[in-house]
Amino acid sequence: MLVTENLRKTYGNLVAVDGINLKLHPGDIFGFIGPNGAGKTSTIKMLATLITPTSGRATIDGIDVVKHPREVRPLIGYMPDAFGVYDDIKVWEYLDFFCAAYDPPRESRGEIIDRVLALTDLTEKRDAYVQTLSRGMQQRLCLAKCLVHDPKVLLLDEPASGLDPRARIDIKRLIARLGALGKTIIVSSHILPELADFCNKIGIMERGHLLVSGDVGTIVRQVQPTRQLIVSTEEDGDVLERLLHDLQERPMVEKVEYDPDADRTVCVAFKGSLADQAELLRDLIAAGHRICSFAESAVDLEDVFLRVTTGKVQ
Amino acid sequence: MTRNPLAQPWRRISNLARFVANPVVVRDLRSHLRSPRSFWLIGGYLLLLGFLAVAGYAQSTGQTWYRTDLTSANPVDVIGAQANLEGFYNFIFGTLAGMILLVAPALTAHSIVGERQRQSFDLLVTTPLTAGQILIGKLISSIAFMGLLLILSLPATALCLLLGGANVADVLRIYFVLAVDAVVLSAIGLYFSCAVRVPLLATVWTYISVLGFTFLTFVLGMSMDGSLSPLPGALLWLSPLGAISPVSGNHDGLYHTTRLLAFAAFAVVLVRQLIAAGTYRLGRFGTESAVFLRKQALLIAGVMTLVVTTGISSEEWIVNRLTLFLFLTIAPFLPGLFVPATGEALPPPVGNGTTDAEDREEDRTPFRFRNLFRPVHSGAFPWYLALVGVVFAGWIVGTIGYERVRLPMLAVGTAFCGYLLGMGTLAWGLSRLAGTLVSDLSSARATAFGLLVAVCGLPVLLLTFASSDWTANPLAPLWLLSPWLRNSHYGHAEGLIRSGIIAAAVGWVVFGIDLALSRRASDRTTGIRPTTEPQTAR
Repeated sequence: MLVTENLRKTYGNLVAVDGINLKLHPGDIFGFIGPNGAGKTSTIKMLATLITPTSGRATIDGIDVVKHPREVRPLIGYMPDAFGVYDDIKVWEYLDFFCAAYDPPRESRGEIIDRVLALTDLTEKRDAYVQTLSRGMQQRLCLAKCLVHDPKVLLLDEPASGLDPRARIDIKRLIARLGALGKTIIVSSHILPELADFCNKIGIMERGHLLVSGDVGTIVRQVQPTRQLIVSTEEDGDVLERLLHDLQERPMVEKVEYDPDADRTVCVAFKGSLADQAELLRDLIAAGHRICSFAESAVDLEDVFLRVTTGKVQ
Repeated sequence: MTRNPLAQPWRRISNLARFVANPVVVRDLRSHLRSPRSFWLIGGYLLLLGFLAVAGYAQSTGQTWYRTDLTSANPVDVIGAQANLEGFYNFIFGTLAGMILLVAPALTAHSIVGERQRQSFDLLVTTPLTAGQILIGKLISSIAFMGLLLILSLPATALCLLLGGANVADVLRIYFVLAVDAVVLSAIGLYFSCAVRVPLLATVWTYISVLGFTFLTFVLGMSMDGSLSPLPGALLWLSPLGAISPVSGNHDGLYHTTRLLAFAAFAVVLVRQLIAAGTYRLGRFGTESAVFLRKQALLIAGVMTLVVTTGISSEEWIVNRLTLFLFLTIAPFLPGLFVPATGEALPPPVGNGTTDAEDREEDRTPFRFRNLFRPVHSGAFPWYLALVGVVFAGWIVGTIGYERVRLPMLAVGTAFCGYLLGMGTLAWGLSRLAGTLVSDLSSARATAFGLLVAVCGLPVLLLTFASSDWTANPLAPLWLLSPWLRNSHYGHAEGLIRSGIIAAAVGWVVFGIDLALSRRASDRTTGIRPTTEPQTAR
């Protein structure tokens, strides 16, 4: 659906984007993470046909964005990080303007506007003036304007920036819903937790380089070769000491951490496969340890992010 | 899909319909009249116009403003009023023309630069609307507003009809011409709103250009009005000040019809050219507009030469004004021609920053014929040669009418083309130098233009100090904008050729300096030219 090959953009000596390769499929929600000035906006603007790449190519639905920008534009919905709204115009008129720009049959426009308003929960604001909307609502309106032509690809540059927590959650839910509708979505942010829970792919960018990209799971495995198992037990004292000792003896266990304050929980850095993990549990129980829970801890993307980015800078 | 040749006109008509039912127009009109600003603007405008009309009427009919003595009669001096009718007519239409001069450019000068400032321009660009549709939409919505103002002025101008100062045909003609002028002036504002990135500067440039345009068309039109050709008269009408001048009576109907048609044609070509130039400056829509622009510029140069040559009365030579006018109209475009760019907004702002620079085009391809019309360096100089060729052809065609003085006219025409070549070489050399000295594109163009003006104009300052009689001064030939020195036909040709040669020589000297500078710069940077180094024209 969306493919880039060595996409590169330079401004004089400044390399804004340095050879980006991406491949996204319908339904993918790609989280684009990186500090300000990392090249996220340049990449998105290249895909949105707003600036031309210095070299490399990008296609959307098989159409080259540089050679055929006019064919690409109906396929994409672009939401810039900062955008302005026109004064003295009503919400439905604003949407009607963008809808008309795509030239659908005149009579279907009202229906389209009602549909996108319902999708973005703005139905009751239909006749309000655009400048009276709150920041979060304007953000949703901009997203609504991206949807009037039912694009296959959504390019959202910092959609949640400057929003209060409530509005942030609203827009996150909305994006997740759109991903479920089968759209390919690129969302950029400089704040990681914003993206972690609804993206199925992420890319971390710094100084024009895409440091890592791919499935969330794959990246975590790349960056963290060991998995973290949380084992909690009923035991204490000597029995606990014995459990720690047994764990340390296992070949696949790299490190065992026990925090006395954390209610009888042991953190195990484990590098084996899932089968090894099952075997470990079986052996522990066979050895008579009383295990309450035994699970892999949730992926800590923030940790991944820190490892990847600092490693590159130094 | 099979290509049906008959489908072409239909597609054109449906395209036209698409332009008229333009979403930009609908959106702009919805918001224009809704704001309280429009209410105050229209209210103030009506009040002012009403006041001026009443004051002018009172003045012309010799009535006092107020009556201190309500009991005595204050009879209107009808005979005296009749004698002052022309004054009232000039006054009221002069006011209208001045209003158009002020309001029409202001309506569009902010349109695109305002969208940029509001950060809504990118939203507009990512829709399938073409740049042409966006610009025409902006133009139509501002014309609609201008039309409203013109219609609202009808009661005031109707006083002219009431008094008998003008007939209905006159008033209709003036309204038509003023309306078309308003479109042209709006298009000038629209161009600068595309080309300039700072709203205030866009307004300043718009007004400077509008005043220059009005003045030049007025002076040139007036100086040639009264000749047999209707074309200079059509040129005169392009200036709102010229639009109100009464039509002189010693012409037949064919003259008037041709004049009106030529005027409309000039306006259409000019507006199209300005829109194409604006589209090109927006930069994100490909190079089609540049190709169109260069082709149209050739056409305009040819037509302008024709207008001017047919407008010259054989008794009075106005080569002086002519050279100045033609060169001044071309000069601002020369730096743009010789320091071209792709015209892209870069790099994107980080946070709230508004860094906006333009990308310098990297083009080192050898000349190919198809490059003639594309905005690349290798096409710029051949294109300029083509322009001079077209001017020459226009001159030859224009002189056909002059039986008695054809030979001297041809001599002057040839010399004039030589002069253009010399000045072109000068502009080219200075553009190269500016491109080497300044890396940012807009600044490079501005520097090139400034250098050109300085080199052409500086000797004037020297001359002013040296002596009051310029022609006797040995420095006089150095003033490149005034190449006429002797009062005979061949003397003009001689002066033109001499100025052309001087200009070309200066151009080559500047080129030499540029070459030395850029070589030293490249020596300093390990022999390899970095990408940031300015690209120079060839």
